[in-house]
Amino acid sequence: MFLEINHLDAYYGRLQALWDVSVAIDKGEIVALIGSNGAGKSTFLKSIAGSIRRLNGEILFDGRNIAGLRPDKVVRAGIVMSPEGRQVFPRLSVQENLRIGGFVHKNSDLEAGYERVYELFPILKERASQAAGTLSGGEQQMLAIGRALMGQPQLLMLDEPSLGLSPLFTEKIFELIMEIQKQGVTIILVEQNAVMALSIADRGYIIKNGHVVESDTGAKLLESPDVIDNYLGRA
Amino acid sequence: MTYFLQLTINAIALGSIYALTAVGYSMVYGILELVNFAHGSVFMLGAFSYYIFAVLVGLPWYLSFLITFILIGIVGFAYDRLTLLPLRRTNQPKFTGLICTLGVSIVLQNLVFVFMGSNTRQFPTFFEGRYLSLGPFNISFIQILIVCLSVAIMVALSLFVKKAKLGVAMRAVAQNSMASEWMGINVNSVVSLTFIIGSVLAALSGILSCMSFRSLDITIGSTIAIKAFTATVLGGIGNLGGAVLGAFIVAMAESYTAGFISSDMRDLSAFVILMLVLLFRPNGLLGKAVQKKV
Repeated sequence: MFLEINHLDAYYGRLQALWDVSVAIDKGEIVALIGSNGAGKSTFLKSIAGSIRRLNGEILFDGRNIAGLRPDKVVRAGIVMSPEGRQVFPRLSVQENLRIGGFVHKNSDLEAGYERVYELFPILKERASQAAGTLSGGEQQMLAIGRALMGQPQLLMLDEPSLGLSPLFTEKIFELIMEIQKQGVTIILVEQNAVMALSIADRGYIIKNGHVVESDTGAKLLESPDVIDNYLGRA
Repeated sequence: MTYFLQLTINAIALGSIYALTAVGYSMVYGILELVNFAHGSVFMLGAFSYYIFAVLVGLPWYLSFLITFILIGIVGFAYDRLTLLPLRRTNQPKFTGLICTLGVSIVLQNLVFVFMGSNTRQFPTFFEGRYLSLGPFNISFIQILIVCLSVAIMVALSLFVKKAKLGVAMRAVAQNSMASEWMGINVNSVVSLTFIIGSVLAALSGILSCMSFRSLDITIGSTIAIKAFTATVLGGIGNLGGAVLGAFIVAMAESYTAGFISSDMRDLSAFVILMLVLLFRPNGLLGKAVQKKV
């Protein structure tokens, strides 16, 4: 297994947010994490990213336990997160945002990184010197993903990439996510937009109140009655 | 008119010192959203350190500078690591940090008081009493040195913050420290670097200021703290260019007040400006109201 998470508990202070979560991800997969607001999806990603102080259980990445590692060390290990709400640096230019994304790499590696990102998101090249805060929501999302790619991740974690985007833009973002997968990047996709996420995911996990309640291939989950009733919102 | 211009020349030299101090204030605020009330004490500590090595120990000026910068750099580093970092780690409210900086300020001042006493000392200077006469104006060599040095440092600093990888990282941390961490930046190292740069700048301006006024005592930190703070708030706290602009405005106001009204009132001008800014333009001249897109 590329990433193997065994019996993970996560806490915010005394408050427990994840209970006994086990997730396994193969190299090259897109794995979707589905659940309603507050189910623990973001907490799950933050646990991997090293932002949750109190954890039990193990997070094996390529066989090495990275649970409790500092966030910058996690990035150096090859796991990068594009956070919920995009969180681009509003007063840095687009290019500077990308430069920060490549912070752990040598300056000489940056050129190739910019080229890769600008090829995926040509609009960012046009806006390279513009302050990120002046971009539209969709463009900011592209920047957030591009910035994460600058870290040359083997595992890319996307937290709600469709949040606040128009349906058209959402579709575009999902196409690009598949494109990134084709480049050999393993992807964890956290989404409230369950239909879109499960239709591009190889496998999916359903999280409810901090527990994994169901896991299967993306296609099967899309047909599961429980999923249809609770997460897909179809009448 | 000649008198006015002479006052302006003095104000530029004074403003350079305020600017060096204010930039340190502003950098720390920019990154931690914390007003560092100990900044003035570090300014005073830097001047004392130079005095101790240059006068009491008798080392040459360049060694005294060097040792002081290293020492004060360590003080700035330790100050953050020992007092402020533990508060951030345990997610204490910002207010706690503020009180902490006040505490550090008191401790530093009293440490110097215990060892050096409260008497005023004569401070060594360069170009003893020499000045340049340009028509009716007198500009002392030390004033010229201060202005040139300050300009050079400001230019270097703004290039660093604009272009260097760590400089861009500093701005990133200031805007969103969580996201910076997720991009692989060790935020605590960046904060330490900020404290080191800010403290060394404070020490340098402390030394230059004492060279210009030729005297040193333990209260110099509190006066400069008010003025640099006013300059920072006036320019828009967290904005380095604003801090420089604010510093010159405060220095001009002070110089004209002293020249045209009364030199007893010179320190009053900073307070008046501070109150006016807080009343009418709390974001400062160059400060922007922060906008967030959801």
